[in-house]
Amino acid sequence: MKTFRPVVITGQGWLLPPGVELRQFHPQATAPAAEFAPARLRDFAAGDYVRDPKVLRAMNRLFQVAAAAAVLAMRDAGFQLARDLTGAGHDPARCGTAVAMSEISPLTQNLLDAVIACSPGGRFDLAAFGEIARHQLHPFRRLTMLPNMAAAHISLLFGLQGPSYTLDSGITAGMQAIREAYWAIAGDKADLMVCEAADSPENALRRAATQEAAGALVLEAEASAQARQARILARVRAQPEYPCTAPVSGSCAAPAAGSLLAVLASLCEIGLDPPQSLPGLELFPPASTAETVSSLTPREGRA
Amino acid sequence: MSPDGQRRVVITGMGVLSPLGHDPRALWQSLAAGQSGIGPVEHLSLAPFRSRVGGAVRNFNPRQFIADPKSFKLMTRSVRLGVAAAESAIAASGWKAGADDNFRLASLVGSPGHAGERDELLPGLEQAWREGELNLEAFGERGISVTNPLWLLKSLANIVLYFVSLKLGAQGYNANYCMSGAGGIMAIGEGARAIASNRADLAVAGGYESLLDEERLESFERSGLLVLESGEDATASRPFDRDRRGFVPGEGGAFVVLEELGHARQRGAHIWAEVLGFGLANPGRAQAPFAGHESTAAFSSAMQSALGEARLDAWELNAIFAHGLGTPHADRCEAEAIKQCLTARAAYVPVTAVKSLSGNLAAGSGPLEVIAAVGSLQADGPGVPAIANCRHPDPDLGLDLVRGRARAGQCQKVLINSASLSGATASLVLGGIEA
Repeated sequence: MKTFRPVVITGQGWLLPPGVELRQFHPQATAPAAEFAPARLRDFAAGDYVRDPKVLRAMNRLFQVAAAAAVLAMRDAGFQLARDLTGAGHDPARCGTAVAMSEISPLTQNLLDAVIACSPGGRFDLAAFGEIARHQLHPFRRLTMLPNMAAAHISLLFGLQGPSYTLDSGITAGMQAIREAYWAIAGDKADLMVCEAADSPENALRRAATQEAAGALVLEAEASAQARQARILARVRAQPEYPCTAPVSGSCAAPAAGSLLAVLASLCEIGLDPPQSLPGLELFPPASTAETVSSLTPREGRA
Repeated sequence: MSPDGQRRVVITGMGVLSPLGHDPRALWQSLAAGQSGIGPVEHLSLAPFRSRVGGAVRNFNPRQFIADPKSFKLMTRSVRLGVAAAESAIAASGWKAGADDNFRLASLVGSPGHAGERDELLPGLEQAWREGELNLEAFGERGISVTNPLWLLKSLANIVLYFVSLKLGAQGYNANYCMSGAGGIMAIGEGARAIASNRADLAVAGGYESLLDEERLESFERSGLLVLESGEDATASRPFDRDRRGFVPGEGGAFVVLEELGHARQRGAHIWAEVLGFGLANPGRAQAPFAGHESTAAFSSAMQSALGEARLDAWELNAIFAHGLGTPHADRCEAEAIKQCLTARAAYVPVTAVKSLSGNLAAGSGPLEVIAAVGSLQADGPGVPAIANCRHPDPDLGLDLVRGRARAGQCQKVLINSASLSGATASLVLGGIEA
């Protein structure tokens, strides 16, 4: 039987709008975040996280918020810059990203403005659109809005050359990003993975309904974390089949980030007995050594 | 994919809806004959564009492939192509529902993300768009009544994953990868890993996408990524040619059924190929802006990871099914990476590029090329197909490019590359399997 490597969490970061607290994303929250009116981050300055103005210009607000959470989590794990990874003994080719995005529609405000302006009676006129686009829309807009551009930006910031995943499965995507990162490390395909999920009303149609929020975790092979004497926040164990449910109180307001924020909220409870359990994922206190992931026998009797 | 302690994963079913045919055999015949799927697009007017060709799926009748026509109202054209390919793969595998624990059935899809149809939304938006903002009150009063009530469901990014899981009854491992050009092959690679590491017994995996969308084409054309030649020239897609100018947009879907070897043998399934290795990589450093972010390092790293997982030396490869996008930058990066991986052997391993005949199907291209590669592993297969339109191979690339006619013979080990414009790169190694 193949032995899978233990995986730990060594960094965390999140950004929430005023009036919303992380604990409200906990699966058992008594005042869940979903009950709050959608709001945007206050005083968010992307330049505090991404210093290169050229890189910032290539990011829309959603990607800036996602990058900010990832930077916070990486700083929390002890990595300020790309060179800190190699300095800590990490091979960049074994460091990657797993990102949850929700409905990255390219329907940005200026694009929708242009589309509607050239659709009299609700019928799209391509020739008219071409004329408007030539003067008002950036030719590279489609490249900057590729769903996996957030992962690409994070990879560039920290020089991550390993696996890269971008998932969009609505409110389950945050949990699935953690799952992909977990199995990449457990299966010895990576040593460190930055998991992140973000919601921002970049999509003009969702502006009135989306909570701006982002969360990020740094997952690391336990052996790598121990070798660099990193602070270990928790040990992680994923169930083999990982059902596709999302346990999350705040997920309606923050579709992509909600479930990852639920993990972060649960992480705050770590140290309690029993371990924090989310669908498909369990968090254990760092001191526990009883849990291993060496056996992945299929569960029975559920057909 | 059978390192110590891991289970072997095989391909037992394939389905494809592509510009080159509606089933794997038709695809292989088109490839063997060098018959291009690139030409005028019937369902979309390309008149305002400088290039008026695309890789469209012709004569597509979803009723021939999708069992439940009632579901059509929830599907855009590209979603239908994806679902049709997945259902075809399941049917071709001979797998029957009921024999497996549903929690051991996996479904993985490489998708474009948001799937909505713009034109269905426009009448409602026109009623409710005020100074660059959607006015919800106005939309509720006047917009909703003229908007397709199913628009939201149709637009869900994971809608093909939903239909595939439903068809399979799958309740286990699942993922909807929005990784552009790399997504489809990632679905296959990660599906194989899930089976190899005993997280699933059977997976349906693949991808779909359409780049034949006016707004997207306007952006790509001005970005310099599309072939900009005028007219309706089927020779526009020229990967690895000295005069390559960009990609030709296409559409399609391709899926495979993956199974643990013992599971497949137990039910008497026909085994087409074995998944031997999979690798993923990212550039991790900035490339030439807006030329696409593909990188030599990412191609090389993904290929080496896949070969490492397969425990193969590069010289053991019989062919490489390249990403072969046809942009000057991407082809140069990939060729350099192949030379890095294969060293002196690079001049002797045949390299082909299916996109020269199919166009760029984005997330659908990787799985299409996997099925093309499976063909090269068959005794009665098409061999290694020729790269179309490569009349003047780029002398700087130094590869054994297959030109003119298909290279006959049955391959034993082949490698397939895929990449996203963002630079994420995936490689898959397939092998034949003894009877």
